[in-house]
Amino acid sequence: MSTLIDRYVQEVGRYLPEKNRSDIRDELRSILNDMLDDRARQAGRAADEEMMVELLREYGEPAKVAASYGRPRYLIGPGIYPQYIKVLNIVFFALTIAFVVLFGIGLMTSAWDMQGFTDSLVDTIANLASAFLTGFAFVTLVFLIIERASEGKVAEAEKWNPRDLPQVEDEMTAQPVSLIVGIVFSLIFLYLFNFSFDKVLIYWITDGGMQSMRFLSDAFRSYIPYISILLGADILLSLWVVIRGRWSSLTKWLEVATNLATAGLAGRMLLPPALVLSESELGQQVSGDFLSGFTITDLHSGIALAVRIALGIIILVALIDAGVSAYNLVRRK
Amino acid sequence: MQDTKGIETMVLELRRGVIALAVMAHLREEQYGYSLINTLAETGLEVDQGTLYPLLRRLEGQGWLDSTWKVDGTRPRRYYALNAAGGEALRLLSNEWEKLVDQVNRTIGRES
Repeated sequence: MSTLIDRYVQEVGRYLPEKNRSDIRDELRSILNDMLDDRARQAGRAADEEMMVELLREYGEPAKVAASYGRPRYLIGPGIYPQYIKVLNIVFFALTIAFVVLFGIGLMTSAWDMQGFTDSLVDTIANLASAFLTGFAFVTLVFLIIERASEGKVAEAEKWNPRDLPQVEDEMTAQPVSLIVGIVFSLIFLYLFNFSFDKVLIYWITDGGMQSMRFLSDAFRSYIPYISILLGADILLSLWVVIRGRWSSLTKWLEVATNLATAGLAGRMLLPPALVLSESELGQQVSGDFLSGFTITDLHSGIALAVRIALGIIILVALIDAGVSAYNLVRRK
Repeated sequence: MQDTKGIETMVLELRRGVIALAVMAHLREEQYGYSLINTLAETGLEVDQGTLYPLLRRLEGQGWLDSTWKVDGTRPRRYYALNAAGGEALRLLSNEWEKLVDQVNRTIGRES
């Protein structure tokens, strides 16, 4: 019948690596017996089970005692934790992009109505969440293995170059790349809407070759002057900021103004008259075999929906941008 | 109003830094684990077993201590002692310790 101390020592050993197990067990047993003798002497009576229980309880839980013999064990240690977070961010970002793209493609090929859209959206979000979970588990597992393998030794720091440090930026520094991209796109749309409007069509490929179809109504056409003014203002403003290299209070407020005007115009465009050709006008352009499975009504509502979504996104982005800029401007004062 | 908890923590940190040195110094004479705890306590350095025994193993692993099992009556005990390499290490560490004490005393404005 093993004593309490023997059982305790045995239990501690269970948490120890094979290598040191018996050695530590022997030592621990010896120490605990010494401590027990000491207590018995101080108490003036022979050692009994109650004394053992108290001693062991004070000495500590077997698992913790075993742990004190080793190095601190991390799941993902401080050495590689920053990289772990970085990789997680990259994975989540990439997944999100992929799903946004897939969602967009899905929109174009699925049912053309509000129900189909919401279903598709909910579906996508659910799949995205599931993909996040999988990605998280996978990345964590990989880093867990790295931690185990490196046993806490940090990888040699790559030689980093202080010259590679990014410039000090505040929100007033111009971002030339995004501004120039904006200018280019604005120019393209300016040209397209004003000088090449009849080329703004939906294109698709059939056995008979490339086919196209008008989808924007004359009502849309009537908005073009206003769109052009805003595009022009945006181009001039962006050019000015790019040349100067920095935003100023004035240019930022001007940007807020154009954003609000854009949101306003887009909002107005959401109201009647309709921007998309009517069903009959659409139907005239299309031959039977294009519409495998869809009806003209589906086609029409689909296009109308897409246009509304586009306008909605424009409004949203413009308002958010204006809001953030205005907030920062006011805060600086 | 003194932040006694904060001070206690820092004192523990200070003590933790010198425990290895104190242990090695005591082990110029051969001792077994439990007796070492008492010796340390007598000089005012309280160490708990959870810290001491793993430390002894690490010092041995480092090649500074030798250990032997001796049977005292019926009780087998593991005795530790400083070896040659450990003695040299102790000498160097003691020098470092004196330098440190001197530097700190000067920094806090007490002449050593």
